[in-house]
Amino acid sequence: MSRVIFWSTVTFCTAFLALPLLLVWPLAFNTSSFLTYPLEGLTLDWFHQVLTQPTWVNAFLNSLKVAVGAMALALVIGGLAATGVILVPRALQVVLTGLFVSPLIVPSVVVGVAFAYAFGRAGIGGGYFSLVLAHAVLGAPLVFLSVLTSLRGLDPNLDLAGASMGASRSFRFRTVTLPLALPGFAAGALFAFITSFDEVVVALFLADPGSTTLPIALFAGLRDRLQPSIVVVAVLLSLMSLLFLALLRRLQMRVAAPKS
Amino acid sequence: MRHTRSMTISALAIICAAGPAIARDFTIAAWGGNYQDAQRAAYFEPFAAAQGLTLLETTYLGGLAELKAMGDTGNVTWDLVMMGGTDAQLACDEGLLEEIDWEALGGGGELLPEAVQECAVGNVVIGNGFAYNASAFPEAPKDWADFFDLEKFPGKRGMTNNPTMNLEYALMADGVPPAEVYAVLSTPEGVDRAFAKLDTIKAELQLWEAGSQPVEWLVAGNVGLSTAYNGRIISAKKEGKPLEFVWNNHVYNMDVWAIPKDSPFKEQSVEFLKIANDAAAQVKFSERMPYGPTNTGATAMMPPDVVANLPMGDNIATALAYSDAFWIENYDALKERWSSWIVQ
Amino acid sequence: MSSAPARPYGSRAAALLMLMLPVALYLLVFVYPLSSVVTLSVDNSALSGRFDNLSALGPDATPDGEAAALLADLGTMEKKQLGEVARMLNQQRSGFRSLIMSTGKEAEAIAPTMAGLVAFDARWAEPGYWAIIRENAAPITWKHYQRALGITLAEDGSLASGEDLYLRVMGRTLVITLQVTILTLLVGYPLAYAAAHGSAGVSTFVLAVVLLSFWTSILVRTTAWVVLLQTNGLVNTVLVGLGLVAEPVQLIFNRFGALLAMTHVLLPFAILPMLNVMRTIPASQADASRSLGAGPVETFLRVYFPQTLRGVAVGGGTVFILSLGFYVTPALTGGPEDQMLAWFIADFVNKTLNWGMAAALSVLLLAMVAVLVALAGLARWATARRKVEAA
Repeated sequence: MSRVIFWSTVTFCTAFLALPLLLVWPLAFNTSSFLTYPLEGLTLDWFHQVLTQPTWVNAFLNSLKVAVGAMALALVIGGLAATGVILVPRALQVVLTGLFVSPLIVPSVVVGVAFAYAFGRAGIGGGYFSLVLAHAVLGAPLVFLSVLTSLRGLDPNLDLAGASMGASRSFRFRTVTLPLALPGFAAGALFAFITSFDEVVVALFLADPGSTTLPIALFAGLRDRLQPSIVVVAVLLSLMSLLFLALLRRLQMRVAAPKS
Repeated sequence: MRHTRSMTISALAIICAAGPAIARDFTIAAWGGNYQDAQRAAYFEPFAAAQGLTLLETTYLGGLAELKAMGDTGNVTWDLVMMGGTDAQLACDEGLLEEIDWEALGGGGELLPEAVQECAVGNVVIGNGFAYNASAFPEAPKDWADFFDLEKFPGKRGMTNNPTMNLEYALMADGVPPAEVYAVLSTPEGVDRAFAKLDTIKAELQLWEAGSQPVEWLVAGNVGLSTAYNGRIISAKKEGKPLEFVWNNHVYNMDVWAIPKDSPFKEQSVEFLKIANDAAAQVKFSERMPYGPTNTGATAMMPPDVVANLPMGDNIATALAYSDAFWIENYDALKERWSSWIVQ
Repeated sequence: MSSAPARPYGSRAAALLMLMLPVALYLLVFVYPLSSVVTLSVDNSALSGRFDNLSALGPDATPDGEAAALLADLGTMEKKQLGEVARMLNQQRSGFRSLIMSTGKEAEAIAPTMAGLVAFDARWAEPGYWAIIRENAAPITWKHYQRALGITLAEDGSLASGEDLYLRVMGRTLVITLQVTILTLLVGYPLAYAAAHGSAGVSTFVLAVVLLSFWTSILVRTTAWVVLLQTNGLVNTVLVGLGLVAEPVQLIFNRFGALLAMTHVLLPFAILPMLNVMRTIPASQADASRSLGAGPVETFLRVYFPQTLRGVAVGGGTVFILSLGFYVTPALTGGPEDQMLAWFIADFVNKTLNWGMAAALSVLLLAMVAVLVALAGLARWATARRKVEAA
């Protein structure tokens, strides 16, 4: 009896989590312009429309540019922070870790207000540069945590062994530590990229018409009117997430697999 | 390792390449949707063709935030914007808009007098009233008293989530003649009277944010009556939806074109405004989107069945002209009272 | 042979060198902007800076002196500045705008005495306007916090309660957040359990669904709900088709839609921490409990569930903190009665350019989050201590 209740609960909860997206995807291929079931017929017209409309294409390119820039910057900030933090005394470690992960808990709206105001006063204003900067700050904690985890998982004796053979610190770091921690860097970079690519709240405060990102265009479209192109963009964004999830799995497998 | 470095370098290259654009395209910000589609056909495309320009379009969501940011940073990214009259006046007072060179536009004598403004050119007249699903009621509601009469016309009521116009509607429902609405609303007792009238339908109120919602709700039967823009209702009616718009005692206001301060395309914008003021172009717009022209000559050029759907002629005989001046002065306080009334 | 260093990886000096850039950037690009929000919430220099002459007056200034100073200040303002000052003052009292605009335009022509001002516009005889002007001649202001917390300053300087709109919004934010947290835990717990203890196939499947959901953008998942819950959407089609309702029901732009979408969007944040804890609980424990004669329900409640509480707390806490500042999902799926604090903050910035109010509400939201994080830290510390004492 309790098994029946348990499994029906699990089935219901899984359906709740998975079904909304699965049910919406087919609507992107529906011939009707109304986002309703039953489907009238299958077409790729809406995809064609989105992929040829400058608004969506430009928004996609902007998102890509911002995400690549934010990822690179976050990688530098978060990577340096993590490699530095493991070397300092414990008390300082706690304080610095608190500082480095703090962007994760500050509500996005507050971050948006803060950046829009501070950047405006500094004369940076809205636009591409401020978006990269803001998204880098949001992505850096993820790189930091990811790299920190992988560094903590390393065997310090490997480094000490290198040292006992007379290798310099920087040489050991480049040839031993970094390659071993590389999956951590890569996973962190993925996190930072996708965080920026999906981010909408801070972007709403900072973007100007020339740097409108895909999430902003989607948000504005949702408020304006529901049309198939919105679902198409949602599908494309989901595919992107899927791709990144697959990449991340591969990275984790590499970490888990025994070194030959 | 080398791979990572080259990746970082190319990433940085992308950052640098995407610095400030040196020459950007002429950018128009408007309200989006079918409204902007009609403007594209009537104004944008002829303008772009005549000037040999590439146009960039974007959506404006109301408010002054973007214009203020442009003024403060000097990074002016819009060259023309379609805004509500109230916001245009506020922006003008704060020096965020260029003053209109009416001489270059020929004086504006062909336009409605209200369309000739210091920093803006009135372009579109919008009817704000209420609509109903004709299949829902045997007898048609005909005025604001009916809108507030839950016994005669049971069902939910759709209204915007804003005090503007709703307070005017409430007073007219309470028997205030259109000509006296703003005089009454200027007194604290008048405001109380409007909210007291709104209290009578509060339990049935469903608030909308986007202009597409009333149409959707009326068609689905979620609400019996809803305030709406005439354009949305008429467009839905043309698509075969059983909706009717009530013109009696509606409130009409104006959307205007304005030029953000220090736009690099001022001369071209003047050419745009000439096209936008042209009677034939306005007719073309009104045929696509049922909002009224500001060029008084446009009326004569329109077939009567088009005029019947616009806030003009017989339709505005009993209408109230929306007062930008009143709302500029009272919006902050009344918006807070409205929000508070909603939360209660 | 060189002696091996006592510490691997590098020296403290190298560490400090490496930490310099990230710390500097964090301070400059994160801590400074956040602290500037705090400053912004009490900063009144945008107004007080325009009233130099009035600010310079002592407390014993005569009415005529004040009138002359005001006119001098208004007279030096450019049109643009006059418009800004008028907008900001109008936020505190309706009608102030036209009073400032008209007086400012004629400032030079008005006799610089109180009588002259009142003759120009009788409203200048009302002490209410002067009280607001005097209050705003100071560079620091508490007016935004007073408004946010529903406190009004009476004429004699005593505190009284005023319009409590934002207090009620904060209350509503907490209520919605609590509802969402409970819902995510209720739905998430069985899923985490299935992913942790189900057969290999089941646990892989559930985990894949959770991770996919986690990686799919919040906006995309919100989009799905908007599409499904719309008046003619799939849910209504099914409900009408099954004959459960005669006409489509309103499922979105109300509390129902907001709670449903928020729960869905935040679910992975509740599941993953619970899953992490559940994985560490060996199945043999349950077997042991069963072999000692406990029923499945008793085993679950007395042996299993208490051990997962830490995961429930972390998952619930994460959802609670994220949900407190949520903007996108409620904005797209909720009605006007369901908007939370974040919505009002964005509205102040975008619609009325009232940065002071946006900053004050941001500080209050940040304070709520900080209190929660501190409580969570305290709880962790307390449990750790108890463990140490028990050992």
